Amino acid sequence: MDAVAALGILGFSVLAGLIGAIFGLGGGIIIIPSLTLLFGYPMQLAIGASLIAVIASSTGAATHYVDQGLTNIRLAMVLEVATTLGAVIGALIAVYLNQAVLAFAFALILIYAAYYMLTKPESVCTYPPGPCGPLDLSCSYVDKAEGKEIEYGVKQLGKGMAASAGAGGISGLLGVGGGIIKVPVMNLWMGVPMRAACATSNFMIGVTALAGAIVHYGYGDVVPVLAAVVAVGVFAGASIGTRLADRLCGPNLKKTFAVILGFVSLLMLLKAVGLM
Amino acid sequence: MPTPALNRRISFVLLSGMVLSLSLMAVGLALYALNPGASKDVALGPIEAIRALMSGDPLGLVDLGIMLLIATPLARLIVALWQFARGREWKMVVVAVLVLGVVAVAVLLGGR
Repeated sequence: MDAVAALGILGFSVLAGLIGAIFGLGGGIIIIPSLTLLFGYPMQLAIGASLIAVIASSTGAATHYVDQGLTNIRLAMVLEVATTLGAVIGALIAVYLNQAVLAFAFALILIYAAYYMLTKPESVCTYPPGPCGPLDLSCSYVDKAEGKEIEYGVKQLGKGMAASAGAGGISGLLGVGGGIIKVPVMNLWMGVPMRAACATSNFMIGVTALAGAIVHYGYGDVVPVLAAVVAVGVFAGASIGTRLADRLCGPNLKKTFAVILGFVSLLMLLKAVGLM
Repeated sequence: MPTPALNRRISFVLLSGMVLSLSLMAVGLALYALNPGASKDVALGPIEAIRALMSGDPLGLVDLGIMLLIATPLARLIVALWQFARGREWKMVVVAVLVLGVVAVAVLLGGR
């Protein structure tokens, strides 16, 4: 990697971290198209670098959320049984899939991410605290805006586990965090309040990406200098973005970003069919 | 319900791992930039990375940083397991062991 390419990748990684923090996404959705479309890296190496960056950005944010008591650690660990299993299977499939199929699958995820950004479904219904099957995954946090403690119970663990396995599979396969699946599942199906769902998803992403990253590392898909440049850049961008998020994240910016994601998905589709 | 001790310990592990791994990577990258192309940019694994570090190869530092970053979420799983065992939350101990088991499978597959 020459110095100009390294600086370019660092710049895009900072941008990915910044945008990811502002919109509550992992950086993978920006890093992978940048590395493949602009810098000519194969999908497998881009996925390996992205997973390392996803661990860095999720670990940074998780520290903050765990400190604040927003993360439901018990629920996260139960769902991680499914996400890690999905991630290992996804990573093994990614190692053997060809570039075009991976690019096509990634384009589909980008289209879903754009749709999710525009609609962002949210439920405000919560369940009272109590056992969920054999486990009690109830939790509480202090809502600083309202100045009161929010207690909630968790329901539909089976459906949540199934969806989490799918999110883990996508993480291992495509090098993204999978939060765009886990957050709505926890909120809409399992009754977890949105802020707690975002914090819990973020916490899980580190372990999910870890399972995929180990497989990619072992198969030589993690190139150290590339992965480190991307991880340092994403972490720096996310640190800035976390401070700017409340000021910048308006509906117009969301719509603009959704349109950009739609455009990038088109480029990935062109790459998938060999026209780029 | 949240357990302050569990939250505190996990937060400490995550913060320490992140600061240490990113520092190793940043210093390694700075040294690598001074002498680019001195070594082949491929993942080394723990033993080779330490050997490279001993021989003054900055790639060893970068690779150790990456491995430490990968190990950080693993360390928080182990801390959670220990904390659940101390609190006699046996069902959560089983859950933590299951997650660690899947990660162990990933290590076996990755280190084939």
